[in-house]
Amino acid sequence: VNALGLTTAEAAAPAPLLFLPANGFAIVAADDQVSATAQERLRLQVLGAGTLPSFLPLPVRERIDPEAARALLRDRGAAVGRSLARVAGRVQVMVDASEARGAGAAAPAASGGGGWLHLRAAHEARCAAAAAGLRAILAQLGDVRVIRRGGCLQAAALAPGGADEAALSELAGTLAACTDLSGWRLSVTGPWPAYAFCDLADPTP
Amino acid sequence: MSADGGLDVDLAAALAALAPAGRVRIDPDRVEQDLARLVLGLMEFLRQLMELQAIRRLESGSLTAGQEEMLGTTLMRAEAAIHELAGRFGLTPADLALDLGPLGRTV
Repeated sequence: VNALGLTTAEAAAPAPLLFLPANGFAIVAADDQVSATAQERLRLQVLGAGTLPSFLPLPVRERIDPEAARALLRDRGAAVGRSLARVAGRVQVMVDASEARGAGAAAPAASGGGGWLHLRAAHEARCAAAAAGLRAILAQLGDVRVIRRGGCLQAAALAPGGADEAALSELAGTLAACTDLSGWRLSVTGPWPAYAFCDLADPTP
Repeated sequence: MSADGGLDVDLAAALAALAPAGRVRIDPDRVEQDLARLVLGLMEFLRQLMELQAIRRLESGSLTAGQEEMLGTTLMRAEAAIHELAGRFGLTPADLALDLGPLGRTV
């Protein structure tokens, strides 16, 4: 059995998810036969986030022994409770933003060191403006985290659980109309479990 | 709860520690590539910090044209050298991002 996430004691997990009560909470788990790969675990975590009233996903890359999750609940129960309250009824919506060809890092190379430094400074300024634009729009949904991956931006918002295809399309339209994001390729995906709200990573540009 | 709205630091570390093998891995069958990734990742991280500091000085107007040229050339060549070394070990620039768990990624 692999632990997939944490939830409240009152919840009930749909099959094939297993519900293992522990320390006033519950571990959402699945038999190894259906959760051996990261892809399978991801699919099951999406199911958990979509059906449980509150779901805190565990790292998806590795198989996690339920005993490790039990120990976490024993040692950090109060913090887990606060986090479950925070993500209750919410899902994660992701926006990936990369500069369109010719607008940024892919622009023609500068001839000298000074020109190169100015190009990088201009790129930094565009990234900062785009990050601010993403934050401003996504903040209307809920809590926002924006991180930098190379020359790209990855934003996550803790949106209301009803975020469906129509809501994502509407969000994509709003983002496309934002002047701070002109020249950026945008990809909106979701709903996902609240991965970005399960660690402290937030190297905001 | 942290100031930026994230989880408590201790909880974040505890959650990440549930899957420790997801961090920097040193595989006995490809030690050279994994060590190169670790060392070059740290070098690229430091180079990017220096680049950001140079940009701050550029924007504050505290660099002469000569200093801009020298700093830019140094950082540009350092980036090219790190990417070339990474290529020799079969690594792309994206591979140089190191996962520091709750602290995020370096690049």
